[in-house]
Amino acid sequence: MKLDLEESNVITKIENVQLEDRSNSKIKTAGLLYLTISHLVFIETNSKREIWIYYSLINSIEKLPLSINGSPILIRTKHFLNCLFIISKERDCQTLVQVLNQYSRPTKYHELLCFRENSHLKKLLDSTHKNNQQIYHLESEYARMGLPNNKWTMTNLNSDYQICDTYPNVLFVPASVEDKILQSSANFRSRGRLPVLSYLHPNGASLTRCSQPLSGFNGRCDEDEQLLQHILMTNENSKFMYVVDTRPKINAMANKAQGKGYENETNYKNIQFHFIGIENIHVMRNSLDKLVKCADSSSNSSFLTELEKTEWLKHIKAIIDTSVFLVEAINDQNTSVLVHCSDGWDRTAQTCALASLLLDPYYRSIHGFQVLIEKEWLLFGHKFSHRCGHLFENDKEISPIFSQFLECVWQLQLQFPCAFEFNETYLIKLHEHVYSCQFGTFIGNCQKERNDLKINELTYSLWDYFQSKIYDFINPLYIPNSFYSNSVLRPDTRIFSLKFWRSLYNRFDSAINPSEKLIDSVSMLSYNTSSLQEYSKLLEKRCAQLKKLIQLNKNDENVLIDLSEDDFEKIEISDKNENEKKSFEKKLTLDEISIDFNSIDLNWKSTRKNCVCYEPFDFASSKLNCSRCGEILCERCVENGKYVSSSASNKLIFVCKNCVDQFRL
Amino acid sequence: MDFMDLIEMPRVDNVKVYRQIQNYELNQLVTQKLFGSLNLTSHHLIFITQTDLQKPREEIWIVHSSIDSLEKNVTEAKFQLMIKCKNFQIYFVDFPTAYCCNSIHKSLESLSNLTTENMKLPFFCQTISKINQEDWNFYSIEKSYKRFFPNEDSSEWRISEINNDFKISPSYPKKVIVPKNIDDQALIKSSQFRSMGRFPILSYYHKKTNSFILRSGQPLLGSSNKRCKEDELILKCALPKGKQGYVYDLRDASILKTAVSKGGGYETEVNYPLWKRINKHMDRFDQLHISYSKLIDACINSSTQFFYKLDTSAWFYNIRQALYLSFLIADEIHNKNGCFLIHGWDGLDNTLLISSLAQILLDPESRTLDGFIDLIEKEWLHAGHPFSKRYFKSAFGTTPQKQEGPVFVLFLDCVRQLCEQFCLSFEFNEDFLIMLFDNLYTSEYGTFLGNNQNEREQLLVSSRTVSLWTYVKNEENIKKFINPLYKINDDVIWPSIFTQSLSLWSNLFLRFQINSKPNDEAKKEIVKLVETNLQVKIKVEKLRNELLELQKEAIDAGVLNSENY
Repeated sequence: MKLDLEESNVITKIENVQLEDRSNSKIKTAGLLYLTISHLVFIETNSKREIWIYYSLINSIEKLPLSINGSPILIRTKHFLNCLFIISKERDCQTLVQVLNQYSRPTKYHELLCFRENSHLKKLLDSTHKNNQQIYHLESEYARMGLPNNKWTMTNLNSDYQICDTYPNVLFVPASVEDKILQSSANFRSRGRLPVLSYLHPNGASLTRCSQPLSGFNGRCDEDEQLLQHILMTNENSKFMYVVDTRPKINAMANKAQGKGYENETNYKNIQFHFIGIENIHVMRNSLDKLVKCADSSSNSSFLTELEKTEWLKHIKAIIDTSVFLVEAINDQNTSVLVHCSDGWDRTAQTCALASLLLDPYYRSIHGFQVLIEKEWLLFGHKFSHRCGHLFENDKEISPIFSQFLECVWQLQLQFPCAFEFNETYLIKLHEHVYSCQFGTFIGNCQKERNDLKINELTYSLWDYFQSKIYDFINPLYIPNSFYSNSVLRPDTRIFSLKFWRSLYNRFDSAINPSEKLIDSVSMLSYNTSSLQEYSKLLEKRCAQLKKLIQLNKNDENVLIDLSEDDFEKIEISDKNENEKKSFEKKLTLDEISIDFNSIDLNWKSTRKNCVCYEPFDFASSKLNCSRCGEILCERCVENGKYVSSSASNKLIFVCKNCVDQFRL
Repeated sequence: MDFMDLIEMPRVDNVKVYRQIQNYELNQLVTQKLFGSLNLTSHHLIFITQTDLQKPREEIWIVHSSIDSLEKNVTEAKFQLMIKCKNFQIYFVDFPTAYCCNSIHKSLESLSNLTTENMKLPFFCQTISKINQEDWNFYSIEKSYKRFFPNEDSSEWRISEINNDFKISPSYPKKVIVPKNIDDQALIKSSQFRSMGRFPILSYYHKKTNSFILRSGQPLLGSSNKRCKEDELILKCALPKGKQGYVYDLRDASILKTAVSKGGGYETEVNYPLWKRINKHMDRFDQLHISYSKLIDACINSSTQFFYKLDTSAWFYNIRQALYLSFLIADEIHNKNGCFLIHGWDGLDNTLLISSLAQILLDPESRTLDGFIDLIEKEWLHAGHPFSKRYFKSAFGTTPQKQEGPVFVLFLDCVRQLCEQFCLSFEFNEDFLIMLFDNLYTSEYGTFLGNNQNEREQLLVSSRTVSLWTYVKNEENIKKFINPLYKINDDVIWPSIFTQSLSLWSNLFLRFQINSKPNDEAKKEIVKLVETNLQVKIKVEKLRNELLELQKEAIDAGVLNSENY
């Protein structure tokens, strides 16, 4: 996100800095480096191109060996921007590292960006959009699934997070089960994460989630076994249920020695137990490190071999395969499934969320997808702050678990281009802001923690921000009623159907991404169509008014009055003021007609290398046409523009700042 | 020889055919088992399922020449034939007896390996379209000349008819463009000095910078170090003042000695002082065939180490190399002062690949449907790319002569990569490229018959067969091949050549494995959106005119004026 430099607090400015081109080390561009309290800003002298990097997104700062030109510093971000700055003075270089170390390593939540005054977001979100932080109520989502019903009920047992501090305060459990059983089951499960409902399919089969049982080698818990029976009984269509342990068996065995482990099939009646080997957070973290290196060495001709070695797509495949297993059990075999891993907040979140998305088309809409993330990830306690390294603490807790989920969704988008309401950009921006700490939404590790931090009161919500830029996120190819959109998605998980997510991992390498982006042009096209449709309504209205005027003049007035009354109704239906209706003849002037006539440009620009402000467009930049002059604008210029309501209806149409000023809109 | 001599058993009953088909609902491959009779005709293997009350009768038609390889698996209990087709489809056929299996196998081996051009399908085929001479004459060298040199008088180039009887160079077309100052005698001398008589001719002229691409066969220096003054003169005359000439030799420098010892060679700096020689390696067509086989093998047996297998197939290496070299040429031609002579060994394969790709980058015209067809005619068909030899077998098969090599397939894949990177700049779509691939190996149309224009004339291809372009230009068909988002782009396009930027051509190489329906749905939606946009634009235009007229009428009637307010 780019701001105005004047509005940002600049701490220091470093001159004579060169930025090395990532695809060709021979190319270097000169510029100035500004350090503000929240950003590192590089402004290229010639092109005026600006690079803004949030400190919170910085992943590593690496001083490379001194070169003739100066001290090179490589900055890698969590959203895969790599910048190699060459700073001519060694002293400046030290200042840079010092400032970055001071500002990019917060140790307390309240030092995070989202708790700071943010005039930019204030302007953007306070004025036009209601703060709908409370977009998500767990109850309303379960109500959507038809709950509570005679099988499932809501319990307030955890209203003060007393039985499980990483669960939401509202839980859905089988209606037949007593609190005592729930309490004991929680005691028998790692961190009190007892089996609770995640998703109920229309056929009655349920998806429930929990953590591993504290069974050790022989331990058992009568109540926990009973709870599973109650869950099994909620579904009349199946005599058994699956318990899926998403870990590799060897990991689960190792946990036994620590008094944890997995369900013993002989103790639990009518369950089928399955291990599905998704690797743990440490394996995933290492795999991503390799992947980033592999994507970075862009001249590397053995890229595919390197990609194979990272095993990243193998892990992605494992997650999708597991979710497909859940889908087949629930949808095809009408059988309920209980899912867990170790603590039930990483692999369990991945697979439950993805299975829900495959099962229920609702989760593939923009709103539904937010609800899904709120439910399976935020409320069920995926440790976002730990996994994303929001604070400068234990590195070993960091792991790209949620990113993998986003990538799985991206793989699905690729296979089913018409089945999702949101586009790839949505996932890429979501990925960025999970790390950016600019919004409170993903701060903290569970609902309780977010409540304690007063996230809702003190920070802006990412969902509101996304809502303000919704034009950027709509998939123009979404067909809500098509076969694939309407049914259970069955992804192809054969390895050749899984792709390297170039636009994420090479997001900022414009030399690697396609020069013309298909989906952008299609978005532009459909936005153009809807703007022109509004425009044609306006023209129709003006035509009708003129016809009326001419007719009134020509004919005998007595005859006309009756006629015109009817027509007036039709024409002026959208006008609110009743009085205006009568004096409408006077209202219409030549100027007005010409203003309307010129209110839209018929030939919108389709491709441009730069915004009118000289900001170059790259593959990930968001763009929007001004409907009036047809220019394509960058995100910042769009923020400076305005949505005006079309005079034909109340639909909002975007107009750039230039046109706003020029035509006093 | 008559076809019937090759067919012992025209019909076998009680045959089982297995093939994999897509279950669209479950989005997965399922094996379909069909029961029925197998029939052999002169050009087809036709399998007809037994009539069954529940299922409608199904027919599978396989053209003999579309069969790439046959594998017989006869045991005591099983008499099976595996049929691998050139388009990557695979069938398993179970016969009731070993005798039928052997007999059909023998017939198919002969029928699918007919080398006589005259016996090929286009000569026997009743296509829906009629022979249209216009389509056969769609391309002409005069057309190219006019495009390159709108003003003939000021041009430094001329059309020579020296090869009118295909004597000087059997693989060249009748007419070629050469420097104006060079007379036909010099061309004859040069042709004797160049491999296959392929003296340097103009391939592309870039009007914007007056730079150009020539191509030829390698010079025949031999160990006696021959030289040819006329050949040197051609290159000297061609190069205008202020331009730098580059000889792009598509062979690695390390093998030049071998080339010389075999009678070939390269342009020495002493004899061609204005031209700088650059050696760039491209895999030769026979190596490319191996690469292609490995690629298809990786796609079919993809369960383990898929990416590693893709990498070792070297297919992507070849795509990168081809795009990279054409990129360098385009850069020199458009941004600097370079002019090029491209050749490899005979100038029949990689030379054509690189020169045609460079043109696609440089010339917006070649990115239109008609322009692309022209390019294929000019740079491949008229340039003498040996289609009949190179595409006799596909990824599963080989012949002892080893003349196969999917250079044109590589070309199509490179073009598709460009289409993907520049989704607005090409008038034709991926389906067009796939259609070309299909007709390359087996076709009802005569376009890709023979190895050069000479052979095509001898076969009377244009009077006996229908041109593929007749099929393409049919009103119904052409719709399928147009990119709805196409917008003319007058610039040179600069592709990205990192491995991450390239993709596997799934819709071709994995065509029988992946479900293309969700993507077809998206394509249709794009067409729909473009149409809606067009409709609303027409409507707006109409309303604007109406409004202007009404406004005028109102002003005339005195009911509307600007001071009204």
